Amino acid sequence: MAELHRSEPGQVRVRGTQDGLVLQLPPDVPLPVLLGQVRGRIDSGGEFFRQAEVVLDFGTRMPNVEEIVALRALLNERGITLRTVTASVPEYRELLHSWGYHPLRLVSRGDGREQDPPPAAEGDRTARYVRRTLRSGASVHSDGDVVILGDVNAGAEVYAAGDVVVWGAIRGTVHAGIEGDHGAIICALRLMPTQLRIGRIFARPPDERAAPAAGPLLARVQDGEIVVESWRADRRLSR
Amino acid sequence: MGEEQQHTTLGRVITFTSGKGGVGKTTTTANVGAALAALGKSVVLVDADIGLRNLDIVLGLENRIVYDLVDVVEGTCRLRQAMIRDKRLNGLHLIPAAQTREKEAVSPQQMKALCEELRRQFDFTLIDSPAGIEQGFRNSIAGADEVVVVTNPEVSSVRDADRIVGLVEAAELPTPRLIVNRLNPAMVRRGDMMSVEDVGDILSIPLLGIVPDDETIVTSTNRGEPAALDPRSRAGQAFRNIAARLVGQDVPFMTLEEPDGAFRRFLRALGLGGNQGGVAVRGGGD
Repeated sequence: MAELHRSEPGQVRVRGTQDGLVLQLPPDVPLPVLLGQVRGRIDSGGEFFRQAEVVLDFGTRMPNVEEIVALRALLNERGITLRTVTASVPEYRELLHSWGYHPLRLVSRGDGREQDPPPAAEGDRTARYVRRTLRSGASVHSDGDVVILGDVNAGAEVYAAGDVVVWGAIRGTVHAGIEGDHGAIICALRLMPTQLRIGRIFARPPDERAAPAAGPLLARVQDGEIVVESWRADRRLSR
Repeated sequence: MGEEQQHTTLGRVITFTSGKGGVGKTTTTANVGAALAALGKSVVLVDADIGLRNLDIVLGLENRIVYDLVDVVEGTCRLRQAMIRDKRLNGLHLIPAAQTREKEAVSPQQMKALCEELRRQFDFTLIDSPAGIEQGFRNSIAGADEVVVVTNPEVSSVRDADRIVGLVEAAELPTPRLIVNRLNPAMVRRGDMMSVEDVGDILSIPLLGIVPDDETIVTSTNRGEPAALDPRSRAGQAFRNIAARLVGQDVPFMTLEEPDGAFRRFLRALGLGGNQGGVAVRGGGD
């Protein structure tokens, strides 16, 4: 599933950061092309962008008001809120600041060579608690962990920067560690997912449908692959 | 068109919906409506599928249409003028959909107002929802007290039903009830079709009825004669059972498998097993 990660120069990139979703704009691309790319990213992203807040990152691109207004209008049209605008060049950041934006210092991950961010300490972690079944079309997004009391049905999606614990069955798509944390885990009482993702690793169940293993299960990353194993109470989670 | 009597108690408005098209919503609405009328209830069926009118055909009433739903909400005619009385059953009426308009011709507020009016005149207002999750669906649930989700025992139909259940819950209506339509017990036994248990496991909503796959439905639908009025039809029996459950009768589900198989356990888990030991085991049919 590597093609899902392909990033090309001259293309808008979508990144998940500690500041939420960031649309990274390429330099040297005229506005109409840029708008087309952003539209394509959002529309192919499906539920991922629904009611999202995004940060526009001009990077090394010279910010201009016309572009910001056009992009903001496009985002609003799609029900997405523009949180702020930022850039990596200090002069551009000052320029944006003078226009009333509050440029964030985005957590740098380098270019394409992202590193796992340090896992949050126990006491700092917050979880989003969902006490219902997520049916087809539902989407849950969290900057922390997610706990669901209910099922995650096929067609539903869960995105968490941290762990995802489902007291129920996973039939849909669950992405733990969306910001690149490969120590994130996914637990469920029953596991028949459409797709599991941890950090930048994607996995789907084999096409030959085997009977799902009985009992609670745990999915985690081991040697660059997602492995699923029975939950054991005496397990020690290395974080 | 003399159904003028005002009820002292308000009637119920029930929407039949499915998300996916082609699962048998319209056939189910027509047959449950006919079965309710046969039980002596006053019933009006509203075809909310504007632009794709069908319910009139299933009831054999297509050549009696003068006014339609859009005419009513736009005030072109009075409510009674658009109401077609069924040719067989006294208590059964139809408000047909407009064929030459689109879903946007009616707003949720207008549907709500119409349902308020209908519930004063009829014991049951049954609304046949269009497929999809857009405005037509929103219109169809706008004035509903209850929602019945119709699904077939197959993956894509169940997926869409699941989406619909979520939308109904989000609209703060009571948890919908489920009709599994076109179940083929032989295929289930061979493992070639999802069982009612499989469907219930995913959707986890209360079961209202199981309608067996029945070829005679096609002919009765084409002829405009609801199967619910045919005492020999197995599907018709299932629709009559559903109508009886809607009026509060405790009709046990007839098992499609051996007694005390997984199916029976599932029903009992849903609180529908009733009647231990006393349920007739039949070859198929609910």
